[in-house]
Amino acid sequence: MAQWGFYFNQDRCIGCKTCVMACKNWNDSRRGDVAVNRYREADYQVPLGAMEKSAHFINPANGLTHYEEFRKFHMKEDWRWVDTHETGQVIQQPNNTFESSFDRRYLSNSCNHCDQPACVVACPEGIIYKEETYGIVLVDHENCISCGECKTACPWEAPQFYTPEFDKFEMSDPKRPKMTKCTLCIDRITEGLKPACVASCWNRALDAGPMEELRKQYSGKFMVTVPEFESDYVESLKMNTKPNIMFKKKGQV
Amino acid sequence: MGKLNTLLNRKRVTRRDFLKWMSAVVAVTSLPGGNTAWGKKPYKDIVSVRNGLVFDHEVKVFHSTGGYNCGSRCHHKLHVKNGRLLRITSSGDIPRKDSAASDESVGEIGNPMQRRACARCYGGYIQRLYQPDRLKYPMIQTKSRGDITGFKRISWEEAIEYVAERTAAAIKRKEVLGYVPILQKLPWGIYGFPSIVNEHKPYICLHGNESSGFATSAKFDALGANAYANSMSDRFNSDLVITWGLDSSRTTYWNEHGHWFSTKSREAGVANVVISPNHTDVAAILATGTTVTVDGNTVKIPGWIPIRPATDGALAVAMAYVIYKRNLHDKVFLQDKCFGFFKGQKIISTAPGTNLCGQRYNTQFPPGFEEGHEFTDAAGKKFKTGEKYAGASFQVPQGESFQEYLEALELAPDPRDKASKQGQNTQRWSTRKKGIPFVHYHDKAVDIAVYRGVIDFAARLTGVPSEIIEGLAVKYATVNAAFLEVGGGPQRAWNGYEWSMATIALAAMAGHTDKKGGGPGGFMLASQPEKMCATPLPQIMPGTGINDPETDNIIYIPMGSWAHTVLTGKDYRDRESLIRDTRICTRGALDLTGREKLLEIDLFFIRNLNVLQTSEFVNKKIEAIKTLKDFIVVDQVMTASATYADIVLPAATHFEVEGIGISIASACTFMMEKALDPLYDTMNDEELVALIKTKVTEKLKDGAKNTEKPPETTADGPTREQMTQILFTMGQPSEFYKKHVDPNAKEISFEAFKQQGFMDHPVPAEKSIVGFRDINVPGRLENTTGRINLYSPFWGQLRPSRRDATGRLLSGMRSAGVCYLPNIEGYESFFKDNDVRKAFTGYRSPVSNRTYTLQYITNKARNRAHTVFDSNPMIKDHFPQTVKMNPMDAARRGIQNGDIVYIYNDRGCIKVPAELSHYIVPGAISVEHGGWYRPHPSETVTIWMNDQEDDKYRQKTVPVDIGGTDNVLTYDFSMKEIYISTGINAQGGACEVSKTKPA
Repeated sequence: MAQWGFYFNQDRCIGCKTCVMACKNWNDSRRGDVAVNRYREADYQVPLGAMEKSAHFINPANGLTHYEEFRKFHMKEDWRWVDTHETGQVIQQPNNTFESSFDRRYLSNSCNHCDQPACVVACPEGIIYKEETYGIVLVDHENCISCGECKTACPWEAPQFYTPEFDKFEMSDPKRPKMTKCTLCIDRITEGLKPACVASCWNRALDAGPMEELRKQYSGKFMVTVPEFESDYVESLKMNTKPNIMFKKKGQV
Repeated sequence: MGKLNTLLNRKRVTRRDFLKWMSAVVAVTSLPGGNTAWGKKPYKDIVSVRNGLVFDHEVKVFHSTGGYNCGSRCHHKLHVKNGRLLRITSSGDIPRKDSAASDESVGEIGNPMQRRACARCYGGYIQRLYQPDRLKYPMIQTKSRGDITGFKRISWEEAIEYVAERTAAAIKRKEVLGYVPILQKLPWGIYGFPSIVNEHKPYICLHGNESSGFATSAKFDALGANAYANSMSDRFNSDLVITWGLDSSRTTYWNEHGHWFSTKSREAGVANVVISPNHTDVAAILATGTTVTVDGNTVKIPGWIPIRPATDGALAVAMAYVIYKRNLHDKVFLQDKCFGFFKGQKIISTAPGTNLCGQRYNTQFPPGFEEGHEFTDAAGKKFKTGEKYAGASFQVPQGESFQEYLEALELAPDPRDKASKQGQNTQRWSTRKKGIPFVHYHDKAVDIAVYRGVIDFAARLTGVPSEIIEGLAVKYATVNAAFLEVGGGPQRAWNGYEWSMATIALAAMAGHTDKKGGGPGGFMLASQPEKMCATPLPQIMPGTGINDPETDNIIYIPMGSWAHTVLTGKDYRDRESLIRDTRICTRGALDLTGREKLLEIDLFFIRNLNVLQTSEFVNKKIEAIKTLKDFIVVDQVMTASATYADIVLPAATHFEVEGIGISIASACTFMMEKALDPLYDTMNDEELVALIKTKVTEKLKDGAKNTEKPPETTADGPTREQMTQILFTMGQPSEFYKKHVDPNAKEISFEAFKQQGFMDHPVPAEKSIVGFRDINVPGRLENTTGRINLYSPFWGQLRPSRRDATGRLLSGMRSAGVCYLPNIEGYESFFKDNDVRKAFTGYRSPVSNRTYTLQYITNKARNRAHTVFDSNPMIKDHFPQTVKMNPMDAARRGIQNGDIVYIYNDRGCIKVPAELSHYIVPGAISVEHGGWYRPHPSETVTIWMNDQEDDKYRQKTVPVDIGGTDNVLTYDFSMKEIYISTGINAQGGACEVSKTKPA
């Protein structure tokens, strides 16, 4: 097995979230509610002359667009997400000029496919496992009981459910959310392609590959395994989960 | 305060914050009754999640690109199976092995830059295509406008019949009015979309440009209509890049992947400084800051220079002053290549063009356009319409050169001065007494206090500290080559034209205009010379007669104030000017003299444009739409504008027809394959317009059946197939490209193009194009003088008698020379006597007597291209529409992060969550452009509207907008004296934010 992981260059990340959108775009068929909430062209259409007695695409009660209704048809889970870190401030001086110590950094996160994943240990059903070829952390959803232990155990809350109220459903409810998570686009990397997030990254800040290869390729100044400003990563250090990620920290060139 | 500072000092925005904002937005948007009558049936075709872990080889991949008005174009790969678009990937989606050379390319010959799509297309397109709100069939309004429950499905036959009937009725009114009372957004449409009434001129058309109107005007005057800047890759040859009012990481339209160029140039060691009221993402990541030595002291220039909204012109003028005072200006360049810097400068025009040149779509009437008008030059020689300018003498009138303007900034406010009397001390910045001569800084006699006075005034006004103004000016003037990367932000303001002119002056003074690694400033908007590497779009589309100054016959009104015209019959021009300009527009055929209502508009026909909110004063626009006889909308989804339509016609997307996409400012051409069969009961635009026109022709022949086949090529220009061929041919490498960049460039066949999906002609940094060296050479510019005009004879000859003491036209527009013009509701007006040296009072509105203490900016959103994609939760959930405000301003108002707040002024009120961050300077708030207007069902506010010809403001009650539409807050003024292309007054107006609803 050649363990795969991510590389993230904070000097290049402009926080655009293209990676997040590309992830949702590619993995739409893997979202937790794909079986219960699917948009079909035949829906939301009313035959000619039948509209008088039928509701239409706009909420008839108050005339507002039906945002919640739209939301059904896309991936709610964030397998990848972007955090913003802000420090410092802008102050207006007595002479009306601005003095700024403000700075902003972005951090694109996903499951880091740890060597010792906390989620695997936490799962009471034992359905989360390290896949053999690339060391990807995968889940066998069929037997998920929606307890959320994996989400709680993971320093980043990388295991996801399509609704925050995932533990409020009856076991027999077909809508009960089952855990889904980043698969490192195993379908794509098996074909020799990049994961969707890496392929999309607008400013080329992300990479993924065998960790050994990444370590060789990226080295030098500002390179860290755990960014000290990121509490989730500090947590993972304490828990010794050994995430498979390398960072280039933001620093002035 | 100490504790507050600590609290405010660190912030982490996580998914949880977004959930909070999201739920806040949902709370106001879904309101009571958020029910649904659908989704009860279980879905049968369940896809196993496990199957998803294997690559689906049955998916077919098609080439495409973005189809909306983004300007930048990216390479899309559409993954289609069973007639359904499943996924979109982009040009970075190539095999991983050895991909680095392609991934990292910024455009080398044989290795073009990947044009990767951004979050908008990844997050927006599929959801736009397959969403409940997609318009699927024609619908007619059966209740009142704006009531979406009143829409009922009708057949295409009924729909076409209805539209044709209404259109024909409007056209017939020409017999009475002398013009067709139909309003269109564009005369002919972008890239070949035909108009429904082109044979029936004159009709009324909007004029100007929301993105670049004021900058394009400045370009027309100063540099000529067809001037080009330096190529994108040329920033690698710079020592310093100053990014001004531009966030290339989120702007559309002229950006062309500028963020990637900037990233790579920074990594190559080029310093970058960002000037903006908000800490843009470029500032966050790309800005490096720099240092400079001034009088032996080292000044540190930060990466982000925060500036107050709409005071950019003052900073530019102050920098020009520093350069001039310190004698750092390039005297030879200013003397030989420019006109208007030096006092009394006299030159003979060498311009190649006539006074008829220019792009009508983007610019104003050239002087002397009117039939029989004569233009008299400085030597008394007369020039008739259509004559060349070459040989004409021009002289800068006394007091109007830029040199004299800069010197006068030093003067002390003089109580005898008319402007001072009116409390408008906007052009007297320091303490020098009249009669005491100006001296340069290096002269021993210099009074440092006078010099400091000017800079300190500018600092007080703009918020940029004095030492940074001085340092930046010195740095810009002394480095070998500096690139002024100007954005569209500051010119989207009432005083944007002046800022644009001032940056052109700055570049010329520093001698960077025609330098490698430099550039002219001022007008980068869609003027990258990469366009020359393929063939630029012709200004006059063959066969249409549009944009052709010789034959055009359309009544143009300023774009932003169309609602004013619908309501009052005129725009902000006075009656005489409008009558005169209409006469010019129609070649003397139409004289409106004596009519009570000058221009009547019966029908507004809009295609694929959310016209309600792309320009200013939304509440007035709604009022105007309600008074129209007919409002017809063609679109793909139910936009805010479509909800007000009488009839909505569903358009197919570009995925459903074959075509070609080109980017506005690069030489890249994209294949748009037909990837899907038209969905639902939709129709593509050309087909739709052709059907309407055939039917209209029938109606106009008094019901006689039109047996003629619609002609292949009509006055509307080429068909879609012909257009594809034209654009393909134009996309081939040009002679210019072969001469300047790659002599071995080969044409490619249509088959090869189709297979590759695009053709691109990269311009590497070492072959960079310098616009003012390689294309538009000073001396031969297509304006009045042939030189870079820092004094515009065009404005100079317009009613010189109606200028005030400071050289401005009396309506506040426009100086013929470069200057700073205070914005309407600008920061000056927040002070006693409009003087920033006096007490801060807030802006007191004379209309409502309310006081406002904040200023808005309306920068671009990440998730929308203008207004497109705002109804898609997948992307919007990650970019909730909020008001961004500084925590200091919030604390004073008791506002906490996530609170729902009201942002209001005399013109309207919006209600969105507050997002607190030092991202924005104190005193300013940001509402990102393009949130869709959504009236609250019960909450209302009082506003004041000038909706009658007397221009008086009357109280109205309107709903609170919960969509967060920026243009609810903006004002729609355009010029009084003359017809001019306009931009949008989007920045820097006054407003207030409160947790409680205003009255």
